[in-house]
Amino acid sequence: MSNGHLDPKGREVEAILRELDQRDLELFETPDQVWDGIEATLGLGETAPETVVSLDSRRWTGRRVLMGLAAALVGVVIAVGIFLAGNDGTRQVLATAMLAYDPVSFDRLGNAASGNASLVSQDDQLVIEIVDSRLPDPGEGADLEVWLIQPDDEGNVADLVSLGVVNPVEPGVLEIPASHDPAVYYVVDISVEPRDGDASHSGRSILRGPLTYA
Amino acid sequence: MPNPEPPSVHNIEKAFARGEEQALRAAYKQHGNLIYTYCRRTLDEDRANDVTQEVFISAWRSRHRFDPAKGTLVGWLFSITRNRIIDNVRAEQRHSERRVNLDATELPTESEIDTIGNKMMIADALRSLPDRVRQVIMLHYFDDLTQGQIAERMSIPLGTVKSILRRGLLQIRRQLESAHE
Repeated sequence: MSNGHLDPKGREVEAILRELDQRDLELFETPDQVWDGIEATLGLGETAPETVVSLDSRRWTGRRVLMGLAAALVGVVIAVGIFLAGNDGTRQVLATAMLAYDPVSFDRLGNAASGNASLVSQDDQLVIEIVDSRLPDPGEGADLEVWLIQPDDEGNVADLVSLGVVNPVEPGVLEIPASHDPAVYYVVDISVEPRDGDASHSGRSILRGPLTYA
Repeated sequence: MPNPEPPSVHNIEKAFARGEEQALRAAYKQHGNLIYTYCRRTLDEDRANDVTQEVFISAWRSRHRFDPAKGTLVGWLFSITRNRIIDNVRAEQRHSERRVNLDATELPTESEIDTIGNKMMIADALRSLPDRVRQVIMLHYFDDLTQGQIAERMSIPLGTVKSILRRGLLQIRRQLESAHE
């Protein structure tokens, strides 16, 4: 950290906590001219980055652009039917996704989160399993919800479907509705959803990743 | 074809060390406001703009010295910012000796700069906590409520308050440790 020699294990941390007030939690917005100067000096030659925007108050509809989803676009649309052919009803892992946090556009609650998702065929039912996960406590009045996203060719959301709410400690297994083909809805997303009666995506994603097939 | 993996914190830090421009943009988006706020709380607006700019330019040009294994990028940026602020204040103090219209006593001391920096790093760790954990910590440390009063205020068991306080403090300490170079 700084050379101010703050010992993370010492009592000073608690002493400083007692000195803080609400103002200390607020941040100034960096003026655009600061980035312009960095860009000009270093010769980066592209447009200024977007101002950091809180996602807290944003709500998405199924057609709204998902920031960062472009990163999830990968040529993995392989018909699940190929894998299901010959399935004898036993458990079979069809695809996996490494879920990652995007510090640019995701909710900060996910900054230490990690996990993987598996697309599994089990007893004629397709399910998503969240495994090897370290998920945050969403806090009082909120849940963690798992979604499957269908991206369009430009990385925007074409459609999405909720698979349901998960326990952060034991996220477990979520059934995929038969009406939604995971070969098309192939991006797994986990978001923080306030219990506010609004069933649409909150815009507060914490982890996301595309399913890739074996 | 875009990168198939959304950038994780570690990916950004490694990409920054490798010199990928997108990582500088991502680092600025993620930490720019924190760095700028540190500057604004210690310097006037014009100098805060200049120092914030200098921090990212300097960090980018000396990125070969950043080792993600030794500390986080935000910790490294914060350390550069502290040094730049102190350099700037010293320069102003030298100039003030030759200018009658500037009162050098208005400039912060190194100790005050460190105090502000330490408060900001702890506040940053506090902001990253889940809402309920942050609320309990703030009631205890900001508002000076006892654990029993917090339990009553939030209608949760006393044991839960104790557990949240312990867990929250541990998370803050871990974040401070990970930032440490």
